[in-house]
Amino acid sequence: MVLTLMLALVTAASAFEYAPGVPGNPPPDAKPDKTFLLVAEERDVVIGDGIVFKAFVFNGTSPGPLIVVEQGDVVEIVVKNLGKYTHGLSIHAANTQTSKFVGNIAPNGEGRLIFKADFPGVYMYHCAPGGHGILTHTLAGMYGMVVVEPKKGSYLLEKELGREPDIKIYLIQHEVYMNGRDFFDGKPAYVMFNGYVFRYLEKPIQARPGDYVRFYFLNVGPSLTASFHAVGGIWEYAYHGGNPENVDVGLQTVTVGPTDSYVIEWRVPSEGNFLLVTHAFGTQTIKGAAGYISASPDAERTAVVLPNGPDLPPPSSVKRLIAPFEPTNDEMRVFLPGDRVVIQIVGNSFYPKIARVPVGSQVMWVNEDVLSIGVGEITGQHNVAAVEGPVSFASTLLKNAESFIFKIDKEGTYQYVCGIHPYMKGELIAYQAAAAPGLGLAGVSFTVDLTALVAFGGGLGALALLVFVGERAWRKNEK
Amino acid sequence: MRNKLVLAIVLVSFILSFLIFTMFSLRVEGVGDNILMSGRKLPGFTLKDTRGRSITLEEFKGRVVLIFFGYTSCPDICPMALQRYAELQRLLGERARELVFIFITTDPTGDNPEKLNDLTEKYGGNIVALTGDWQELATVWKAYHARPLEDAGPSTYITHSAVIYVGDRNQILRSILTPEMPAEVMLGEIQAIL
Repeated sequence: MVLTLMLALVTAASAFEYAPGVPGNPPPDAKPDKTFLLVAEERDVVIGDGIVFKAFVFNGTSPGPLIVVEQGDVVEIVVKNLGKYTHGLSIHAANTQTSKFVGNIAPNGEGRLIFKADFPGVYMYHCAPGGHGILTHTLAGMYGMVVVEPKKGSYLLEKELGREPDIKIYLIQHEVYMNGRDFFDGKPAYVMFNGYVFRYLEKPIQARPGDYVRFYFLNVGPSLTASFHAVGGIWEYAYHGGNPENVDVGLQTVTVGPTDSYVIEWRVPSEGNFLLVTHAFGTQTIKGAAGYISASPDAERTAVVLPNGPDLPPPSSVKRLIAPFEPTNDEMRVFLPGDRVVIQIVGNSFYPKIARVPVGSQVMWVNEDVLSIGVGEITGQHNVAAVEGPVSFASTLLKNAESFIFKIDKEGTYQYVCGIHPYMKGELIAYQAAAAPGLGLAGVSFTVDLTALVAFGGGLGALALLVFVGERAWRKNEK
Repeated sequence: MRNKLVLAIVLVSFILSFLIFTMFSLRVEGVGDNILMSGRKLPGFTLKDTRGRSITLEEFKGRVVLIFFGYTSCPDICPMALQRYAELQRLLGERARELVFIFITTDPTGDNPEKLNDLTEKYGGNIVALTGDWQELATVWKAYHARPLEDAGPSTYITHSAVIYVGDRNQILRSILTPEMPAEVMLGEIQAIL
């Protein structure tokens, strides 16, 4: 019902009521100064040498395209969903309820948002199908940067020098995860600047000594906090959120939480290689978040560095597939006879994604995702639907902490999905465990409950003791 | 004599404990009767069509049945499932008559007969849209693992099933499909039992 009401609001957008006088709201019957089209879909993107990320994207790349507007612009964003799944958009540069207009867009659907860019700064946009899906589609790489440029001369170094920067570097820090469990635990496989592992170590940004550089640094997370630093440099001016009013002076780093940002002004102090890093070595730098500004007097400057992920052809050989919601060869667990087989449903993925289990196992799926309200992409409810294999079966929708047990009686490979998040895929391989000698006949087997066995053994022991004591007492009496 | 009595009591209690533990361990053995799986009979039901007539699953015996649970105002999964129903009817042509495409509402309050009727017009004549009173439907939702709604209050999120169940002519569950599967893949599964 709530959802129906929300949809009615989306379709009757003209009836939407804005609070008068609050910045961010478009003036009545506003004509947009700028229009941008974001196309949502699913696509494999290359994020490293032979490393492919099975991503959800805007306009074909992760991160998606840069959007730049001027302070005071009336901005129109059109979102088209050409993907297989429900997508949407949240755009942080808008001081309004973007979800009413561009949230939860069904496949082949379209949404349109108009807002007034009244707050200058550097903002994140990301997919927003609603609720739980916002978190997991961000995990899948659907995000990008919006810059609302303030009036000219607002940034101090620009004012002092009386000129525009020589180099503009739009830099997005982001991380990718192998699965929902790692997403929960904050353990990314790779951390990157602008969509590729060590992108600017491989291709350094070219500059000349003395160049005026302006960074638009945005950490889209989804989860880690960045600590952005140049080895051999001190940030001259740093503006929190990119707003010229929020100025800090002379910083070695800027600390940037998820979906936080800075505009940084800095002059290249000399020739040489200046390493740009997020100064969290073990958890981030080492995983790909580093690059060079390479300065020499005759360098051919890189005038603009865009935050869009690279648009690369698939590699001839894939060394690793990062697919948070699907099985990959890197992620298999073998359960042995007697093991308790528990498969978590977590962060819109099954964990472990591939499980080898002995025939006869009672397999338990338990839903660790916490958000249990809503439907479709909005909810963290899941089910288990075995769609291929020796037997088809399906569980009910499971809310948080609820579980489903199914006994696997037939050998073979079972492919299963979550019916309402069909990109969530898991695999169960049931193998015939070798029987213990003398315990099994062909086609006949039995199981023994361990607790019962212990109780029975204990009972026999106690019985033996009693018999022994009783016999001794009897013999004593005989004598 | 007394010793023998003690011995007998201890012996009986330990045997009993073993039997009780074993009984509990047996209780979780095997697949529960309430779990829908291929090879098992589809749970029967009696519901109402858009004209208020009583419809039982039983009366579709002899035709392949597809069963999906949803609501007409659903923005994503339900239209996708219904779209597959439409595509399958197109792909099957004349043979579509050998199937019945069942859509059981999960929103008896919002889905009035007109809205349910529209589905037939929009997605094809072989669709049978079914509704009923809350209690009747709740029993069917539960039997088919479509999570029953807790109540019919205004703030209730309507849900839908996540899968399409496919039963053969004898109403034995043969296959489970998900709405995002291409219709051609679904067709392959269905042709195997036609």
